[in-house]
Amino acid sequence: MKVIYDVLKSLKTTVVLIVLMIPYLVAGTIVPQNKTDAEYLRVFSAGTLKWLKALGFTDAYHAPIFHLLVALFTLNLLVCMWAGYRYLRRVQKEQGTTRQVWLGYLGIVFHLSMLILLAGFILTAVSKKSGTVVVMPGETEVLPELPGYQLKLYWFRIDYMDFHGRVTPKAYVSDVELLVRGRPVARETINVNHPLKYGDLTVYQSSYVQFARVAFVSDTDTVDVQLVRVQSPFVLPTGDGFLILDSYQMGDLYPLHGHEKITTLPPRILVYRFMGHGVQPVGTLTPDQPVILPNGLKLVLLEAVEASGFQYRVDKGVPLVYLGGILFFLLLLLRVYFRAVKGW
Amino acid sequence: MNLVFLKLAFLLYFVALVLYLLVAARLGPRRVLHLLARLSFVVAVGLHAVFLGQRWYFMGHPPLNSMFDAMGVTVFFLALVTLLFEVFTGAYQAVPVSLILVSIAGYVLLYKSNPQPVPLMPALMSYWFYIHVPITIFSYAFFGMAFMYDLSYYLFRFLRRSEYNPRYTKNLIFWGFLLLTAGIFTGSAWANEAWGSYWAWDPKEVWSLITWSLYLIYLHLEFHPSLKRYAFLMNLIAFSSIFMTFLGVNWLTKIFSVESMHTYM
Repeated sequence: MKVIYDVLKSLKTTVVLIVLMIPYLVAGTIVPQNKTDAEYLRVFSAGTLKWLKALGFTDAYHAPIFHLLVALFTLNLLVCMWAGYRYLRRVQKEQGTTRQVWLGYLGIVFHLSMLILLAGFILTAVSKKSGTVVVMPGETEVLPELPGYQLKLYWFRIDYMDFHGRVTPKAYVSDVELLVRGRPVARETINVNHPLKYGDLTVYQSSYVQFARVAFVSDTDTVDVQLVRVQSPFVLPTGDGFLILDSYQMGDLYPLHGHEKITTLPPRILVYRFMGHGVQPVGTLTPDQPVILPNGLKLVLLEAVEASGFQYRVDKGVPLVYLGGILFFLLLLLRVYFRAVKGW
Repeated sequence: MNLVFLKLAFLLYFVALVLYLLVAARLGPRRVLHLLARLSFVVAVGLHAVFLGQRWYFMGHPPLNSMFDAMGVTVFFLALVTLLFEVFTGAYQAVPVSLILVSIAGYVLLYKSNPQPVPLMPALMSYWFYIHVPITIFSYAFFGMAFMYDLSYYLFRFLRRSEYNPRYTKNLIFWGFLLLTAGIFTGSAWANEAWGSYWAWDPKEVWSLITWSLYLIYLHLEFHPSLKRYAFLMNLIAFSSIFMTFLGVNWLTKIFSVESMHTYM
């Protein structure tokens, strides 16, 4: 028992554990993670793949060995803190509360903050629920991972900016309402860096999907109306070919400096014939300008619709991680001040 | 956008490098050369700062979101820390070593990089962008200076003309470690706010953690007499890890097709 205790309180053990964890950290960044054997065999030989799997490098951050190393590191940290505390108590009894004893206790609290951080990580791992959902304007969707929760999208828009002649997105903005068992509980206008928060649940603006409602018009009649997703091939109502619509820019355009709107960009959608192995341009579709298709039909843009994509997450570990992180940083600041500035 | 101020800054960094080398080699009137060297260095840092300010205004955001800009700011911080280090400690031997790195980076920036300004994507339009990125890059400058100081000792020890104070290295690493910790925490807080996950095992995050762990080991070496002698080796390994964190993630995404939210254009 004494041998185990001595090993666990050793700084050399800490160094060895960190050094052993590093290959796992590195592996996760150079070995593609969680792929199929067929995909791995395109990159690695069968022998190499066998080793990578045995060591857990194909799912490095969930590998049992990596988890064991983290657990041992946590234990090592705990035992070091306990050994340090016992040592400081002894010194305190012999010499009183000197500056070194005081700094020693500070060091123990400093290491405790790392344990709080680790506890937060574990809580995140066991409590985390997350998912994604795409909502059309005016519609309500359920959040699959959270029974009873729904998200309603009132509107979604993309603001653009003129970056030296280049039109680029400035903000993705959604007006959303959260409903719990059918009852509205929170409504907010959110964007990428400003999520909606309700208790443990946070809803983030994460993506968008563009659609176009188009009509196929012959000389005499409207043949068909479809809601088409951009960049996805769709079949013509006459069945004689596929079309594909390119993504478009639609929204208010702002200058690089300042907040005065320059103009509103109408949707301009490039239409292609989808040939299976490539595409062939057919024309540009705008609200005022239909495109004449090769089969004689006219393609008319009725409406450009942008749906908003959200990520949602429940994570009970975040407060602990923040507490541990802030405590760690403040105590590190004190340590740096005493060591680097005061020279203690 | 013209690069006149940047070109002038790198010209003066190079002039300062030559003058500092003359001072270190004790060739010519030492005091005059040292004064001229420092003057060139100060003016170079000033011109570099003017360039960054000009670019900030031109792009409408801090110049940090492309490889050209991030590297330019990193070099600026390294030069600034080197200058301050010399002023406060008087250890001028480390300056030419640091300026060699600055000059190499200057060559890469001016002749091998794409200076095309890149617009800021909406995910980066956050006050965290003004905090997380500069703090992290600033930490690299402290770590860089710590390594340059150690390296200059080994280089000039060969010439038997150097004084060395290990406390300088340690203090620089302490400051770097504090800033890198702040950089990782602010990055996590930002990711949590923008994407709902404070840690996503992104290659950049992981390599920052590796760098942080290596410097953590470095800072603990002093507590173990038998490990203390590995300090320079540890400094070298940890500093190499910064290169991997800063530049390597781009290579990883290209070579191993690993996805990252932190790749520079």
